[in-house]
This record gives sequence, structure tokens and C-alpha cells, in this order.
Amino acid sequence: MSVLEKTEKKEEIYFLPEVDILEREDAFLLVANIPGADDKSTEVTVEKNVLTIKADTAREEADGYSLYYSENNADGYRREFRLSESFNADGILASVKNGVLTVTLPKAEKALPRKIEVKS
Amino acid sequence: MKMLFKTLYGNGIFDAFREMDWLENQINRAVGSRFARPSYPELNVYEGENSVQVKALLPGIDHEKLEITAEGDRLTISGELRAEENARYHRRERRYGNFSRVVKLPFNSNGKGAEAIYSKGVLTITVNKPAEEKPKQIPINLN
Repeated sequence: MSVLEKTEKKEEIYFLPEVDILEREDAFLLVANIPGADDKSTEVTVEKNVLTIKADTAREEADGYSLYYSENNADGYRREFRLSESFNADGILASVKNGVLTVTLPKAEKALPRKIEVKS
Repeated sequence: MKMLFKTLYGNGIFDAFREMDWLENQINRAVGSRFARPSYPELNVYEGENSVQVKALLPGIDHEKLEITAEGDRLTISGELRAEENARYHRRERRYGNFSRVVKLPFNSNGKGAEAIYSKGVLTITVNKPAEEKPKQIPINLN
């Protein structure tokens, strides 16, 4: 994962979003803060076990306003994660609500806890 | 100090500070340092002719629990972000718990004429400038 990756295209600057990774019984959840972006401006892709998050925020100033002070003026968020083999790439879901992206990664069959019957 | 440079020198220095902000932000996020965390929520402030707009980045907040107060020249934003219960965290970068941040406005708001909108995780608070603060046209007398 490239931590200090910077994409500069027409002076566009992207930040790494803050991310939580949670584990549930049947899936992992990746929750990322992407305030200012919505489902239309967000893209989640998986290629060769690399999960890429791309979310664009409109860095616009409202009519009649000019920027006076800024602590976060990114054009969007970018981050990549390497997934292990224990994920079912087909079942990955993503949704955005209130500036939070939730990616659900269901565990592959073989990674689910299986109860092994003990025979006598 | 940084703000002073931004307003004095305009776009040239502004871009340099934006680069520094980016680098600081990336390093803080990568290192996950507890001591260098930015204030929460992060703010962008815009100035207009008749009002000032404060945009606070507050993703995933329950807006019913948000409290915004304008008193004198201070704007206070407080609320809470609840963590997921019954979940096993492997990585935790997002901020949780109670938060409160005070913004000092360049004028006395008198508590009236303010509105707040929460959309896409961004809280936009627009505070109207009191009449005395608005730019006044000064008539030129010719003699």
C-alpha cells in the first residue's frame, strides 16, 4: 500500500480517508470517512486482491463566498487495501451515507468458522 | 500565523501551505499518532459579503444529537459519534465519543440570522453578519 501516494492532475490533491476495520461473524466491514462525497462520486474497485477506494468531493465555494481558512480542502479521498485470500470478491458490497463509506466483505466459505463434528 | 500569511500574500503562499497541510495530514493519518491528531471536526471557513459560512466535516453523525450555539463572537459545535457495539475492531482511525469545538467569528453574531444544513456528512452553518459589519459604500465628495 502506498502511504504517501499523491495524485496531482490539474493541482488536485487527495487525502487518505480515516478507516475503521471491523470483523463480524460472516464478514469484514471497512468503514471510511469521506465527508463531502456521495454514492455518485464514489468508486470502489477490487483488482488482484487490491481494494481501491476513490471518492471525489466538490471543492466548491458557494456563490459569493471566498475561502478564508481551511483545514481540509481536499478534492477527494483515495486509499488502497490489500485483501487476503479469505474474501469472496463477488459478494463485496459498498454504500455511502452521510459521508461515510461502508464496504462489506463477506468471508469466503473456507474462512468461515466451521464446527467440526467430533465422532467417537 | 499561517492564517496571517494566507490573507496577506494570496495565492502564491496559499498553495505552499496547502502542500504542507496535505503532507501533515498524510503523515498523521499514516502514523496514526495520538498526539498529532487534527482538531475535530475539521473546519473550512468561507467569507461572503453578508455572511460567514462554516463547513464542519462530520461524517456519520446523528444530526439530532448535534448542538450548535452562537453566542457573541463564538460558534460552538458539539455532538457525539457512537462506536459500533458488538464488533471486533481490527483498525480504528475514525474518531469516536463526544466532541466540542469553538469557532471564533470575526464579529458578534448576536445569535440571530444563522442556519445549519447537514448533507453528505458536511455541516454547513451560515451566520449572517450584523448590519454594522457589512461593507459600506463611502461616498466620494468632489470639491
